[in-house]
Amino acid sequence: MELQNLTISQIQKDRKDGKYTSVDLVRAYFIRIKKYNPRLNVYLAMCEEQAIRQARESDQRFILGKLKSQLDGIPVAIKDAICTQEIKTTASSNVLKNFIPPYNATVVEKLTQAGAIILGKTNLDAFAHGSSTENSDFGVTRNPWDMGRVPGGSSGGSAVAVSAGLATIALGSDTGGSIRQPASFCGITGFKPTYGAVSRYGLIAMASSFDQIGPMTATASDARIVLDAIAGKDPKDATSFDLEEPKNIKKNFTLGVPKEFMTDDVDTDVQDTIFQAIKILEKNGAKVKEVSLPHAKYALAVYYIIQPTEVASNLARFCGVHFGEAREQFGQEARRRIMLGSFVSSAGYADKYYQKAEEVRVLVKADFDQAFEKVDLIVGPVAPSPAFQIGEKASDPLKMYLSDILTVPVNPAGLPAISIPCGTVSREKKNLPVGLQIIGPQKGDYEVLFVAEHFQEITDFHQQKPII
Amino acid sequence: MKLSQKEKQKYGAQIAGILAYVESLQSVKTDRGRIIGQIAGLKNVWRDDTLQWSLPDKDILANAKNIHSGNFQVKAMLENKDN
Repeated sequence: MELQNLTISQIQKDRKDGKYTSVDLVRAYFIRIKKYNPRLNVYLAMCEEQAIRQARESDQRFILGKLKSQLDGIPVAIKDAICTQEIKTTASSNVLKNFIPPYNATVVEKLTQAGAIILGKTNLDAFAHGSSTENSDFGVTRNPWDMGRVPGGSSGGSAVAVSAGLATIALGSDTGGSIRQPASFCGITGFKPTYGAVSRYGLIAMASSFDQIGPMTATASDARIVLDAIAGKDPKDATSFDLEEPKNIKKNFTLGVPKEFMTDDVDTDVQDTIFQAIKILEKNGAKVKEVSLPHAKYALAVYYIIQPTEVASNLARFCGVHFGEAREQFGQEARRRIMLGSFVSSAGYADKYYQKAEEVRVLVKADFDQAFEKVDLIVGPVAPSPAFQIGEKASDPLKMYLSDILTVPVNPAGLPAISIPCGTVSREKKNLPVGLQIIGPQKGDYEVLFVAEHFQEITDFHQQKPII
Repeated sequence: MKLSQKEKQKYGAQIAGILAYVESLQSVKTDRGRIIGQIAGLKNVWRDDTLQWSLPDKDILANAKNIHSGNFQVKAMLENKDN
């Protein structure tokens, strides 16, 4: 069974053709997971018994012609920042090393109701603080394209699960790029929905005004199927709303390329790969224009003031009384962000830092609003470089933060954005994937997915998989 | 959070570096003092004021280290001097 390029539609077809059952599929995944997990360190927890039971139930429904949804029988990996009832959920932190949630996150409840099968919980930077998965308290996850390199972060485990064929689909979360950047580094599709499109109930909170859960998949088509299953207004998340799928989507889009995204800060061959991808879209009917986002250069500063402030507030609940270990168990990055966030929001400094950052945030969003009057979607790179070496940026926090420079403008503006594979570049004789970012206006999720799906119909970059 | 002297120096230097980076915002002209709510366009989100059940007590207490008579036990904050 070729597990590395499986998609939802392929599984549905194989099942109809009698090639294998859901139980066969789940068993095959666990054989592969047990073989590769020791080296890759993707899964922190595995749910083999429960998964086989769920697969059996799915097979019974299949025989009766009563499948619950397109996701019935599909194996999914869940980022360990998302609560799963009775399955240990640690946020990759020693503070939660023994935490067993008594409830499911809304997205998990929805996937379970749809018949999806949870294989296990994937590794991340502890509390989602990071861009490489090196901040996990349980070891780094390795990039299957080059085992000496990071998978990106914070949803590194989920990205590798899909890239290495250890799950068909995965859930990640994105606060400043944590779905898109690892998707780019691992050669898969990663989608961050419009803020509020997917409920955050049960997501261990990082920055509450930026966080969104989203699909990490082999294709944009699969991402759309997952989005349909997990999106929607949730009474348990007051910031959630019902995303409407538009009745008609126009065929030929105008794409804007921000000049601020294609500077010397981005590796030359990454820029070339992105330009080639944009050319392909242009040859196939898209109009391409240059746009400007003059305040995008301040977005990282805005992000690294507001996000730590919200982090410091959210991490205050980990007092060791209701659950969890003592606060002394927080790792370095969590400590840094708690200190930074507490400082920039404290009396005497809040006006200079936090209030100012919120004011510039409005300008960052306004730039996007103005650009979207001229173009339908914005395209550009996801990261300035392909996956970097393990340890390369770990000792310099600011250097690590700078690798987010192209993804962070999106979250403060609440916009939907996707990363899809668009080619590879060579580093030390290894081919490393590069992701194309497509950003939409608020609630433009389906337009983003449409163009991504269209790109994947006319190219096959997304079918390239690492050899493990 | 308790920090050792060495940690204070290390984090101090790193945070100073980050603060130096974010200084760049000071040069941006903004509407000073404007009250920013949120950017998602949300307005008052209501629900009916009806009783909604939460989790059973045993689930809520399941992850706590110290429980006393079905309650979370915390460190004493007031000393009892009358003993």
